[in-house]
Amino acid sequence: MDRLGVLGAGLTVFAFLLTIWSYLLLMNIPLTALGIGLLILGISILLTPTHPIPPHAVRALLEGSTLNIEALLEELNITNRGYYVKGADGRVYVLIPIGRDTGPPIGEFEIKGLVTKIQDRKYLTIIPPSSEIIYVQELSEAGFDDALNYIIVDLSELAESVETSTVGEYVVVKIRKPRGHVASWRFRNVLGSLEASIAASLLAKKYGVARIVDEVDMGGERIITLEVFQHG
Amino acid sequence: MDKNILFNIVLGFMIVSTAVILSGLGEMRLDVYISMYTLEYFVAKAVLRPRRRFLDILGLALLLIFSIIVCFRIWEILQA
Repeated sequence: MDRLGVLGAGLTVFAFLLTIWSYLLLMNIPLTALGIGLLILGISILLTPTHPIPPHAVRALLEGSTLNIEALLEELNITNRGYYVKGADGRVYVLIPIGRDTGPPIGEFEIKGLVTKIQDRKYLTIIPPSSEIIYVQELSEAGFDDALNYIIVDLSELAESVETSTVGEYVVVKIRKPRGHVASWRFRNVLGSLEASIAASLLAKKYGVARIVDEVDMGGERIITLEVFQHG
Repeated sequence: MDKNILFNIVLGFMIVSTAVILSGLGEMRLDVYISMYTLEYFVAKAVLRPRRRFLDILGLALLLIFSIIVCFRIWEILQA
């Protein structure tokens, strides 16, 4: 147990004894109330995770993985925007049309290898940086808004706040004060910014297929427009 | 500062302030103190959204106790 845990446990035991002692022996209500308050605080400290991964470390890991994808896209000279697709195995992939963009993948398909062929269309298959982070235990019951907030604001501190709104098939995400540092322009053109990629991955996880339509940076805000396609 | 730590600092400050202020006002009802603590806990949690090791059992316990207190109050009013 680390120092915070010891503090929480110590406070809880002390507060418990104070509450019992002041209620039964002293019959002092304000002191009893203080004991209960300290008991709440002690339990709260005990419930606080002591070694959460620092948000800047999560951000660095996510940004680092974009560089790898950037190198691959650069080598293959890929420029089309990718489609975020939930595969049969439940994982989210990015399918990038090779050659002309003929729209999102349609029908049943199996994702296999680096190039996936779906009804005579070829797609480069990439696993986005956020493919695993969107499946963390804390998000098992969360909706899109909460999950996006949790990953971008709480877990990675990629931005100060996130707002979402839905207009038909489009989802607009407003990111306030984005903090991403890595400027991989090809990654951004194909998979979107890291924040947009996370949003698209979450939408694909929920709806099946999603794509980043547009990203605009203005006055400390990034406005991301995403399109949702029904799977199959 | 880590918001988990900040949450506990803010909560501690609020709890101690509440205890001092209410006792200074001569408040002798324990349920008033507990209701205030519950309210403060949920306000601080909503604003700072701290992470938890697992299910927030403290929040559930406080909510349950608060509900019982409210039920007793309603029952008292109906009895009067």
